[in-house]
Amino acid sequence: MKQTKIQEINVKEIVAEIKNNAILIKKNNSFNLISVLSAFYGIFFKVFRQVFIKNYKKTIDVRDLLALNGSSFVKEVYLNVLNRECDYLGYINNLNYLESDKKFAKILIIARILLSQEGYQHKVKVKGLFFRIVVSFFLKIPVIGYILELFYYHFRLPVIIERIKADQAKILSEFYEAKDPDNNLSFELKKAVKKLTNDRF
Amino acid sequence: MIDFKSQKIIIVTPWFGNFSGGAEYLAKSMATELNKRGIEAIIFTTCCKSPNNDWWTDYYPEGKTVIENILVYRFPTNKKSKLKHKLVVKKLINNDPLTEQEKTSFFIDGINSDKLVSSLKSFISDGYNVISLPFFQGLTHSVVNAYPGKISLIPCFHEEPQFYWNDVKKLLLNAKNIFFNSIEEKDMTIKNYGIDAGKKIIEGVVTGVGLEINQEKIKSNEFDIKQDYFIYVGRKDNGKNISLLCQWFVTYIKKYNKKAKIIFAGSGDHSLIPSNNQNFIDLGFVSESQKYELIQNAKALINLSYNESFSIVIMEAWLLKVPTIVYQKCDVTTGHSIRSNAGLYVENETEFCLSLKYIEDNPETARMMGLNGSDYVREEFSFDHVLSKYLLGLKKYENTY
Repeated sequence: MKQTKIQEINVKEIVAEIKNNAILIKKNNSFNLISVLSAFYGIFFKVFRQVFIKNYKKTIDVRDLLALNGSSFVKEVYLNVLNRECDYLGYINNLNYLESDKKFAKILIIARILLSQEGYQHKVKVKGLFFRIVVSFFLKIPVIGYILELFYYHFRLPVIIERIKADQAKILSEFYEAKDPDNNLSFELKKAVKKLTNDRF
Repeated sequence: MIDFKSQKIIIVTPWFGNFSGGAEYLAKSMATELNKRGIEAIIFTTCCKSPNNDWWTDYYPEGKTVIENILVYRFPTNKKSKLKHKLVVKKLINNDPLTEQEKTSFFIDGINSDKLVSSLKSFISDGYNVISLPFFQGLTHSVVNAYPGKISLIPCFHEEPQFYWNDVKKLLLNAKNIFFNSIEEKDMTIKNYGIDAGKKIIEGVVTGVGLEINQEKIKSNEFDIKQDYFIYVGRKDNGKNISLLCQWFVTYIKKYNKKAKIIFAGSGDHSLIPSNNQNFIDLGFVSESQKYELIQNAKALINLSYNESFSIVIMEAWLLKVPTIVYQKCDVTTGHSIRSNAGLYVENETEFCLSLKYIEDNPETARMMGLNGSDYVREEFSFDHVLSKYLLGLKKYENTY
């Protein structure tokens, strides 16, 4: 009796069929002109929709978000853009993406969340994001991207040095303040930090 | 005619009583069933409450006690090794390389009891057969290495870094005989230690774990879940690949069936399960009868863990005539699925989604898979079958040393 049942189905054959179907699905997904075009259209539509929002409810600076790392970055993006705590799957997926060490992962995460349906409803403006998306798009082009990157960082070098100076001054001012709250040096350093950060860009 | 009833068996396990991990289940069920068959089987364990409590603190009083008709001897744990063990674990977590000494410390300074080890001496002289399990805990190493060639071993090996450490080679060489939970576990051991401990491993017996479900124990309609669902039963932690399961199931919901549901039954880290999501139902810890009821009414049981030396829960699902879906990276569960013709095995997200869809679209085939599973477990892992393998194995090696 048992033999009859086992002969009726064969798990190996079922799994082989499933594996073949999975390969077909993968092949279909790898290049499909219609899906590529529709994806481009979707992105274009979302960007267009976002740019022409009339009344932004809130404006945040992309640099404030980019200064964060890891889990605190993901959590802050959700709090600032979607005005809510990060859900479990969003947290895991975005953290994995961030840790995959992909170039411009942070920019892409912010863009993805901002351009989602939920992001659109919250009408948040992320200052400086569009510029960075354009830059990251060009820098991702093979060979040309590398040359552009060289130029890009060449022109940005003064800004990067200023930022390092500002960070150093900030750390020093905090150090002196902790040591002696009335220290004049700490006050001077704070002023320097303010000047350096206002002069940025 | 072999006289099995004259055999006296001691099973050594680090924890016993309040905890139901795989090794503890094995020890408990084995002792219960041996006693039922008139063969004396007692448990030697520590006073520690469970793996989730401090391993260097005694919770239970030392001495003799009876738990569910099994005679249990409890011994105090070693107290001085905590710091050493913690340091090694910290290094392991940080992926720092370990010296040979530190590797030994991982085992010996973990859960251990010198008093238990020394107490065994008189019992061995009295003709008791001692079986110790599992390899991952220091107590097993101490017991086996203290009495070379006299203690049998149920290693419960998984494919994990500790399996490749030199201490395991020493353990295998000192064991009297070895009982494996699956043919894949034995193959893995032959592959890695065949040259060093060849004959002993080759002659090691694949016993499996005895399983039977009392149908009267299954309650009906305790849970009012009207919709069809898939189920995961077991501890919720990342070692069991829960995050991956959630991720893949979300893809299935998005692409194939927005109404698909999965139930999680078992203790562990609840934060791993998406909250505020109608497709995921986390019931937490459930009683044994509730567990059986939930499995029985599920479309399929899913287990994507790849650290399994047997997987009791898959066997339970098959006994309840429910098909399974497992991860192909786990040789043991995949091997069982192929041999039984009772479950599907998947390698990636797309295959996972298609397998779930196959189960949903082909209920008759799924039912037949469940029936095959039930036949497989009843034939291969009935207590009579499993215990006779143990007893024959012990008898065979009785006069070897």
